[in-house]
Amino acid sequence: MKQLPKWLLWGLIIVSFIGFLDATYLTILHYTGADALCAIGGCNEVLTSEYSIIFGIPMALLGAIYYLSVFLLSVFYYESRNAKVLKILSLYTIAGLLASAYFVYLQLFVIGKICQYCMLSATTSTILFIFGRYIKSYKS
Amino acid sequence: MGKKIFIWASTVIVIIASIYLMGNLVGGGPVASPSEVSADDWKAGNLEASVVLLEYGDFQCPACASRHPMVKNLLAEFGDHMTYIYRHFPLSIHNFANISAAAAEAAGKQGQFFEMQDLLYTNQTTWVNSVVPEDMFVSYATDLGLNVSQFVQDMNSSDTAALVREDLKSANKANLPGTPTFFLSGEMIRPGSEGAFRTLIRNAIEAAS
Repeated sequence: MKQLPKWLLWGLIIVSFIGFLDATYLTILHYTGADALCAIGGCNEVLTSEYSIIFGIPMALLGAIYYLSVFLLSVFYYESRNAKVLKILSLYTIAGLLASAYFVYLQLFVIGKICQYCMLSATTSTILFIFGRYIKSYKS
Repeated sequence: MGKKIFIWASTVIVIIASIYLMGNLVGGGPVASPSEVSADDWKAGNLEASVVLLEYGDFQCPACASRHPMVKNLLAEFGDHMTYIYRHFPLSIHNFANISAAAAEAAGKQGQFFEMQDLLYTNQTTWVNSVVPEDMFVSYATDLGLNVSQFVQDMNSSDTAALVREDLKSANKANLPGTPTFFLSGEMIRPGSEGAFRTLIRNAIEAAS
């Protein structure tokens, strides 16, 4: 089996880490009730909207857990070169993309406000998704 | 083996450090003075007094409920010499924080804000653990002799939600550490006991007179 190229592995590690920082920031904001530092208007409206919580769990926390797992799985692959991890990773990033697509939809069409942190998260999860497709091609 | 340990140890360190860093980014700032007393604030005691005790609370917060009897005692004792103001700081971790604040606002519209505040704090464990807290709020409104249909309408209105949000905004702006947060004439106080609380208030009243 071909090994994952270095750029792809480091790409996964770095992008998931950025996503993790972003989602962690939002999770802490959520639990402390503080206002976000917003460069563009509307992010606090988005972050405190009714859609920011699902079954009592803040979306930001789910995001942080998602990015942390991608990060840890990538580190695990780096360390073990275990090909099974790649399969999990490539599937996992599909879920990330779908969730982000839903959040972008909510911001644009339901809430009508844009939150830069959520858009950053949409970007990182889209990149991870693209990486995920690459991984698939390396596996086969 | 050594390389494995190194990789995982650095990973754990990086994760912990980044959580810590993000935490500092959010809550590291100092607490600012809260916004000035406004006409929209709920006030009790002597409204002319120069000493103002301001509380930011959340009806679902256990620490607020445990402080409530203290505040009540102190208000009974010093109510002639100070104004007591209550503002909402509904924490997002409490799923009924907003609706309970709205219930108090709705009772306030019929002149019974502090009566509802008292019922909400005194019976906190009951309604927090009930299936539909709103039903409990309605029963409190009934006990207080409020116009119940008006109460329900006000509790669920977007205007009431906006009033609660205004308080939340001012709490966020002041960078409050949590609930309850007390300000005595603009300065944050953290009394550890009712005795310490009493001393602080007594000193402030003596200094003002």
